[in-house]
Amino acid sequence: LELSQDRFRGKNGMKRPFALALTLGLLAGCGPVQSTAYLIDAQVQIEAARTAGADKYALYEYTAANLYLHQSRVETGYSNYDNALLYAKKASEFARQAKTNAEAAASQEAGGTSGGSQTP
Amino acid sequence: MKRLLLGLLAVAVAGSGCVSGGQVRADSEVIEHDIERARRQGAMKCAPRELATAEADVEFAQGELSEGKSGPANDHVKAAEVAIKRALELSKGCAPKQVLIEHGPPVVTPPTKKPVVIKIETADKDNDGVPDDLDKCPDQAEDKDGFQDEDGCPDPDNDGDGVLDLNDRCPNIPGPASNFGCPVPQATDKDGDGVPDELDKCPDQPEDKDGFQDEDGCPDPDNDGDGLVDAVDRCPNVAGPITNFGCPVLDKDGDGIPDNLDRCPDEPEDKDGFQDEDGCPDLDNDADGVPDTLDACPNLAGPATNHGCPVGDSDGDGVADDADKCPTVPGPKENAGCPWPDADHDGIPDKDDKCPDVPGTADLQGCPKKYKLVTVTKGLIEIKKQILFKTNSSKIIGRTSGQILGEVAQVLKDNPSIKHVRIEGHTDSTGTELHNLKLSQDRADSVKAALIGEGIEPTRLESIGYGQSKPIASNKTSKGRAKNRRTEFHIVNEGEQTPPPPTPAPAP
Repeated sequence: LELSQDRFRGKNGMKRPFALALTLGLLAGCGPVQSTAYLIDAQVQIEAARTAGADKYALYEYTAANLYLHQSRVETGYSNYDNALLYAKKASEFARQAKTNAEAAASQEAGGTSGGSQTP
Repeated sequence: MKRLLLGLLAVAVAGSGCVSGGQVRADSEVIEHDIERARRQGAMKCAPRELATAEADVEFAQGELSEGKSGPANDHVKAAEVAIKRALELSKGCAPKQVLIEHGPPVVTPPTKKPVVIKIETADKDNDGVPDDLDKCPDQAEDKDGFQDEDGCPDPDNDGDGVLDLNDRCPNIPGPASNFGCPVPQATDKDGDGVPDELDKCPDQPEDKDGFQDEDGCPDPDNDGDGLVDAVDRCPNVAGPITNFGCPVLDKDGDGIPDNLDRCPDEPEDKDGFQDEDGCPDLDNDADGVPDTLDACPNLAGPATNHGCPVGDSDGDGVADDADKCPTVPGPKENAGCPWPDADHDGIPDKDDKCPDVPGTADLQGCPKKYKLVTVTKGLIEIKKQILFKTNSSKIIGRTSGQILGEVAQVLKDNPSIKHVRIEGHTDSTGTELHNLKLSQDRADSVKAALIGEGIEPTRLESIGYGQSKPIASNKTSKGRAKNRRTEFHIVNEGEQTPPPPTPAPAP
């Protein structure tokens, strides 16, 4: 798991449920719990990216993150937890990248010095 | 991860054998190429939303294909197709004509100096996304059909089977044009009868190969369906009753009599009521030479002159009346139906009778037997000596008289043709006429009785006394009177009437 301490220190109110679900998933080791945990994580990441202006400055990554999140939910609905987990992870990854790129682009536009990130 | 998904996709497609799944896979591969092209054109900058959508949908489609869900996969592919087309459209002119290649790590230079870069211009004349220096066919655009797209050359017939990809339902697998470019599956034949299972109506039962409906693959144990299996059916392909060994009962001449009972199977019976059961026509039933159609009496032989009808035979001698000169008297055919003449009535025709005027016997060829005291002449049995009687009596006396009567009796026995004999008694004129008449009658009766006593049938005998009325000599002399005293045996055959008593001859 590539969970950063920053994410746990996020300002949204979903930290506690996510932590609880993750803990339960790790303990139980079962698919539904794991995928649900990652879904929640992806949602958090996407929300963070959007807050960072990803829907304007990192449209590719932000769009991909939302698509993968949606597909993860679809797979969960079909009880395909393996795929749901996979897509949820990708959604989180794209969301993180979107947030990073958006922050970089925003600072550059604002005259900052941070360099643009490379797209995957 | 992507390789794993592709592998799973390939296995799923191969396992399912679903045509639509393969098509979805092919479409997704094409879209992947378009995604690469869009990226090169700068879609990341000019159409990031569409590019991301296309990439995500393709991945989703591949994941669903790996699970055999060709329907949802197709939906994603279509969405991806729409997105990538839009991306390509938006990114037209977006891609730089220059490719910037940085060699080595970025050189940290003072902010006042620009970084050192090497710019290499790369042309793509056919605009197929493959740079000309890598494009084997720089003037022909790659067809981007997922088959060797990296060489820049279009492949109009990927599998080289002679069927252009446009018309090839299996563009990457060789197959004949007759099967739309797809390979023809190997025919199976479970029952080994030589008829492929796909054409075999009875794939588990071998065809019996008896020349009857062998193409359907089903055995036909009773080809003609007559209830008799072919193995014992003498006519396995033509229905026929069991009683005829499975062969049809034929009636070639159509006369209603089956050929197996028809002696003339090729000639129809004439059905005229004459021997109709044999099946042969009888054109001249009575075989009289007059065809039945012209024969007024087809079943009775008769000459053509009588319209085929028989002529009558009144006397029953076998000679038809019209040819019988004596139709009422039987006679041989050689004599035109008339009896042969027999003058002496001895039963031997004159032509065979050496003594035609004297009754005789057959063993003597019609001639009379020779006797010692008797001579048979025409109409008379002559006695050479007289029969003696006692004077004034009818009693026969003398040894010779007995011998004479014995021979007369023998004559009658030897000649059955002598049907009737008249015994005449005669006297001389001595005495009264009445007495003589009675005496002669008594003496004739006495002779008759003697002959009957010799075994002669009474019906053959007749006795008449003439008295002195028929002298044969003079009664004036003793010799003459002796001649007049006599007994005579006259042959009177059947039908001949007893001659009337002759008038007395004048005494000489």
